[in-house]
Amino acid sequence: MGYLSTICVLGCINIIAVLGMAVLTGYTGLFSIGHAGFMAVGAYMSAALFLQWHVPFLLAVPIGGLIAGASSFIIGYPAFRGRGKLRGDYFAIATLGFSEAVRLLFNTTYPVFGGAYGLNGIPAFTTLPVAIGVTLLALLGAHNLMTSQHGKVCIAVGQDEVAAQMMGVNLLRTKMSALFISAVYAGIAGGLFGFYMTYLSPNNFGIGKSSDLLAAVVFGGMQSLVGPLVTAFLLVAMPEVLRFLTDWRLVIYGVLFVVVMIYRPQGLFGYREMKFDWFWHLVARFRNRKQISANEDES
Amino acid sequence: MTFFLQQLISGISIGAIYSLLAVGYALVYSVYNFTNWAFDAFMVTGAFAAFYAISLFFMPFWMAMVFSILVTSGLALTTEVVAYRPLRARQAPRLFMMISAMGASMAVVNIANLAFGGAFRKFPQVAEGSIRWGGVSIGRMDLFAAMFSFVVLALLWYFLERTKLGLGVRASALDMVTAGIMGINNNRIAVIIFGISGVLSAVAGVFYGVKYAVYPYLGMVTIKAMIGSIIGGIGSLAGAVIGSLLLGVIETLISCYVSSVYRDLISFTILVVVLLFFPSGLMGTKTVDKL
Amino acid sequence: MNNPQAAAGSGRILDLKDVSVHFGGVKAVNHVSLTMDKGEFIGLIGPNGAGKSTLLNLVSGSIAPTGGEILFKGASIADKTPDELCHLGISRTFQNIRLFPKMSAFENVALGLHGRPHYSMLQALVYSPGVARKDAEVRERAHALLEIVGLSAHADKGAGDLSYGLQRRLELARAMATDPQLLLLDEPAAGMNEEECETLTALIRQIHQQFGYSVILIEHHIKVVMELCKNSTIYVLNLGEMLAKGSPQEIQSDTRVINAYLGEKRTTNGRTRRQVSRGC
Repeated sequence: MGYLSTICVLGCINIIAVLGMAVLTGYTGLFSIGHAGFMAVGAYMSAALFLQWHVPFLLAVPIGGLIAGASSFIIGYPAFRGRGKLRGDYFAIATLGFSEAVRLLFNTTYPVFGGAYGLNGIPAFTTLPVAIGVTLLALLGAHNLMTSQHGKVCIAVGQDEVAAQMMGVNLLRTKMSALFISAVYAGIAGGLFGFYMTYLSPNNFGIGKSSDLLAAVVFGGMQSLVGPLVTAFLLVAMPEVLRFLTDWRLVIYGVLFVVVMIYRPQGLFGYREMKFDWFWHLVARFRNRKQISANEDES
Repeated sequence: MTFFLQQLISGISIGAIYSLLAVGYALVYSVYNFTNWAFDAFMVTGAFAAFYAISLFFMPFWMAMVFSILVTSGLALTTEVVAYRPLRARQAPRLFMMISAMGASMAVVNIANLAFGGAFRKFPQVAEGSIRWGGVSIGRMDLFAAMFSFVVLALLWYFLERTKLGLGVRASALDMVTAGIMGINNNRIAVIIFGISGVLSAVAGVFYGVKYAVYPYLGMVTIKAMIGSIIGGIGSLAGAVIGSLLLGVIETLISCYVSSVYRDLISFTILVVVLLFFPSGLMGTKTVDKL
Repeated sequence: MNNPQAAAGSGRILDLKDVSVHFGGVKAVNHVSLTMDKGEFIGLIGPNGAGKSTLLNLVSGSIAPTGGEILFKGASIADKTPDELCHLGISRTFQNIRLFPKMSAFENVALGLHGRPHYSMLQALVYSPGVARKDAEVRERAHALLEIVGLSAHADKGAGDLSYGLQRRLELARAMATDPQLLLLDEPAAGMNEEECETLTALIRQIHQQFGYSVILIEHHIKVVMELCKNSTIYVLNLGEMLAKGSPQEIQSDTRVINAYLGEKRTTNGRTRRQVSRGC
């Protein structure tokens, strides 16, 4: 039972980070190979907030996420400000640089963060209910965003940013927002991760982790939340089942990246939106009933 | 003063390696508008090929270099044909091509990791010791690496500027579609460009391996080369060289006078500064979208 | 001269003063001047490579002039980004259609309505009450626009799946969605046959009359231009310079224009052949 619970918690944590990646890469079309860096920021910051300044867990994690979001401006603004075809590539390079720089910083900062020895003694506050609860909230938030006008703007930027700009879309703001959201999500996932593993090491957040996140979006499908969500969970659960393949994980991902891009770029569930209509009908009915009783009260 | 000069030369020597890679990048993206993320895989292949050529087959250095170049170019061409060409043919979005390149890189680098293990291998020294010149001590190998790199770059320059094939490459860099219409075989251009990439990354990989060590994740240094070409500006091969040399020098000087631990942090900061204040790099050309 | 008051009073909406766009050695646009009053419908024609699209790109903000002034409603717009210009009232269609291929026709038009979203991201995140209402407003207006261009039946089809003629109409609807005052149409009839041209001409005339846009139309189909600009001005560009300007009749009989378009070309056996721009 504990084993299954571990897979679920780690799966949820991965889902949260992947949802952020879906917003950035799946919807807005921006390639990042450095989101482990944002996870690291969220993880270390929320742990430090708790251990050093006794900020309660349920506050420390979101704040850690926001700090990760804020750090995204360092690469977002310079990379997205300019014009030109290669800006997307510059951004990708910057994410890689950022991730490595972050890892280096945490690896060499011994006070508070433990440096190369890692950070110990984080209490295990991320229980299964917590993980599931945050995941559901994250999913709801991402769904609301992507079905809103903001989401459509992201999609437009991802498909043809020149045309989008002509129709009044502010490219800089859109891209920085998408990046911010994805960084916050990654940061929150990182925070939950720290409070689950009870120990953090800079090696948790290397390029392999960033590749994992990207893989979930690539395989799960562009412009979709369901696809990456399911894939994110599978990518955590399957290696456990297929132990012998763990070493080859990154090789397999690499080959699959090429194969998927050539033969099925839409991934598993690409370009399909989740529909929660049944849920909103319920909400609408509930609201109507409230309205009716309010009217009765008045008269 | 001599200390400073020494560091300067050391910086130039590492910058020379960066510039080999940066030119490889610049070449690919000036023609295809695409960053070849698999470059780190090429570099690692070059380093390991040469390493095993010397340690297993006891080849002399020059032969190992040739062997390495052949193997790496082979890999480069395979990658181009398997991972890039199909996508280019159907004009896939840039994001998809980046993902494919990333995949190729991940596959090759991690196969190397599994096959050879993560240990740091020391290259058998080729040119030992250092020479003294006016009070400054320069490592022989550093000198050799720098000179060899410049020779390679000069050969490349000659090829691009003075040969007919090179002209075809430059024409493709400006406008691939028109070049194709004018009778330039686009597939042959691809072969040439990725072949050159193979040569450049093999040489860079070998020298990097000699200077530091050979290990599967050695390709991470290609990010420095990318930064170097951003500094120099897109659309300019000379800019890529200058940008990389500058990066190598600044990196070395700062890591020497301030702190060596934060070397990567320094190049990242330089990247951010350049993106903020020099959007077209130092020598880049402004590009205009064709609407 | 920056004088919005004077411009508004006189109804002058666009003023290109001696504008040039030089790319290195290439003079794409060379000292061109053009004025437009509110509600006017201008045609812009010229052989290929004349600089028409460049001029349009200039007005829509994709490129900056290397010389001269551009005034929109009396104020300079030379340094504005395309999205800023969109909110000031300039919109356009593209020569090579640039729709959002994986969004539905409806979503494409809707995007024109909310390039700048009507609520904050935070409101969207928590789905606050205003969000549903604003989305419904957008939905209504988008459907109305689709109706006007006759695409209601295809509202939910992917834009990339529509036929060429329908895509052109969709682009028109999307440009209209931004509620422009100046509409730039870049070869909207390209690739159309005679029947399609006529339908399009009627549609453009209808929306011009109904909404009172100021329109600049670039077209190669001479019949379309002549028909739509019946009572207004046509500008002719050649090699980046303004060759002639006048009413359709004047342009058609202007020898300089005829020579530019119907340039003489010697074939290999020495005979001359007329290069005619065949339109609808």
